[in-house]
Amino acid sequence: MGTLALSLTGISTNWLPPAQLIQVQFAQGTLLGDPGQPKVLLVGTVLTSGSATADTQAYPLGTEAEVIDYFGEGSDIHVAWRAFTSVCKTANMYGIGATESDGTAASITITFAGTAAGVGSAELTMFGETISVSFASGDAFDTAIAEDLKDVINDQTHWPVTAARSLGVITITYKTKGTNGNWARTHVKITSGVTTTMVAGGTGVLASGATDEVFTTALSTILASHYDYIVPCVNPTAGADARLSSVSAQVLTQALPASGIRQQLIAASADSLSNATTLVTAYNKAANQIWWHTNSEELPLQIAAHNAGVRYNEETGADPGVSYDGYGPGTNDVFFIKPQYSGSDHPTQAEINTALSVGLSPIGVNSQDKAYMVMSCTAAGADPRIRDTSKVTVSYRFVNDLVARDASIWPRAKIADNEPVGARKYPAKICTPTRLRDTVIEPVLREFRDRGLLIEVDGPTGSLASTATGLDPTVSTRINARIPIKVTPLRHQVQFLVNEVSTG
Amino acid sequence: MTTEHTYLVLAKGSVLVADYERMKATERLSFVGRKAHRAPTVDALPTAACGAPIRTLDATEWTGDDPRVEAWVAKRVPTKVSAATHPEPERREAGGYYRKRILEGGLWPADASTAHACGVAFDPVFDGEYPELLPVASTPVKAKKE
Repeated sequence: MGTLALSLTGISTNWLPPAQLIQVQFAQGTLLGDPGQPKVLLVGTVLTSGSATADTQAYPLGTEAEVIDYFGEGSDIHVAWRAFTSVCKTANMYGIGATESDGTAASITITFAGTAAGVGSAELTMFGETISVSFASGDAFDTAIAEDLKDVINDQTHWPVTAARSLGVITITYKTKGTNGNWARTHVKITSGVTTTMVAGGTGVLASGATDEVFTTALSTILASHYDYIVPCVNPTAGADARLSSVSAQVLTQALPASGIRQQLIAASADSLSNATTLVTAYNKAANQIWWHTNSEELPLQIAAHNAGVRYNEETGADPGVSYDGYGPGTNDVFFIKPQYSGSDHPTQAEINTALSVGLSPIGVNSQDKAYMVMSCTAAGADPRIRDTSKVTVSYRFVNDLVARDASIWPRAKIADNEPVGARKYPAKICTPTRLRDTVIEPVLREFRDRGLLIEVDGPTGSLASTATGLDPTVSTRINARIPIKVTPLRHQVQFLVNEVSTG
Repeated sequence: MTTEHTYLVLAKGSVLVADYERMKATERLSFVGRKAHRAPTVDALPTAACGAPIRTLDATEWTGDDPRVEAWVAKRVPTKVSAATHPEPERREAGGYYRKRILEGGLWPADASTAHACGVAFDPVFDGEYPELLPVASTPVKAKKE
């Protein structure tokens, strides 16, 4: 016969009146302890129109109005917030803005010439969105067509650019100073045969943005805080970015045991495969992820935030170890990244293979011209053992659940070595290595096994059998536990060899 | 001299171009025209590593006491990579792959025929990156008195 000891407050064993004795306890946590809802942090700048005090605190981002109020409309944080919430509207989001630099904002010109000799329209595509103005025969190229388009650009208040016109020339300027704007692309199109011409300057990409903001002070503000996913609003150029370096270094050092803050960085590069390779090699840590989409229509920071939203959606569900192979075009997928404008920028299988080999997470384009996630890799993916981000996410969730359960079961506990065989049991408040193992480690291991997140938990060489616990031989107030875990690998490939065997 | 099956290339600046075929064969990081130098710290790297891309090795790659770093130093001689003239589609793609890396500025074409095959201008001085590969100026010969 099983028994269950239950001790309600103020009810002793000699309390005799017949009664239904009830005690309700609130905020007791879930069965495995509650590590809390994962948090997302966007790190960017504060525009002069924003009310946030730069570098001083991480502001909770509830509504778009709040984001605009804090950081300014069309700020990089606003752009990233929109990209994230386009796929995930339930996240616990924060933003911290660094002081904007004194540098130069990127810009480009769009030049119109020739009075319209017919009806038509002029189109501009930026950030994956297309706007257009229509015109009639006789409309002036400057005061009518260029002026109208300038107004429509400025109507896109969520775009990170503003437009000004002088004669037939529209100058589009990125709102934030620095190199981020150098990755904003334009595509222009005007009805042919109407005399009026429309030409974007240079290669159609904003240029001359220089001198980035510095994240150092903002990062020191959030040093002691924990965010599961950090998205730096950075469009990295070539093989290095000082802002990315500072976030990567902080994520790495804070994850060490003294701080125990385990976070993941998600960024993206729209640079060439060569430069993206240099970039990911510089930040080749398991907690970092660099998406790669050469010459993307969206800004890299949009891609990073968008894909962080996808990962948040999927990984906060029942299966944080989910596979992203081919994610995008599926009917249940929520994915809005566009293929590159030029087919020559679509990655070949050889390029995808190389990108995966060095730790990049490529975005591919399928035969139906739809973009998709090829695979979600860590920046340390050159080592196949730590290629999948699921290895990091599941391990972090395991540890978070472990510490949450330990905190809920053994708050302010005392410590002793295991009771000698045959000796009287210690009181309940005393934590021994065996009790830690039985009450904290084994239940979490079994839970993760049953959810399919860990394999090889059972058996003579499994995690349960291989877990070792004991008092620290030097520090008498410390219990040590070594827990080998094996995150369930993802199936990336399958091979079939079909032999037709007719005879005669 | 480039044959129709190969390109001759040199590493460029700090750009890393993954050695597609070598990585497939070895499952290890490998970059075209570069050699890895490992050391306990950045300061302990050889002088030749100055300016080269450096990465910190993960614990999975190094389990000793010292944290280790790895610098990818440019080899001082041209490297051969396969061009797009192989009958197998995958190999053709590999050739196209290196041509694209040259076109996007990730590698120097090391000779005129590689540059011509890839459709880029040949810079015989490699922007000063490889002074030892510059043609040695011939000694002026005094004209004989008649």
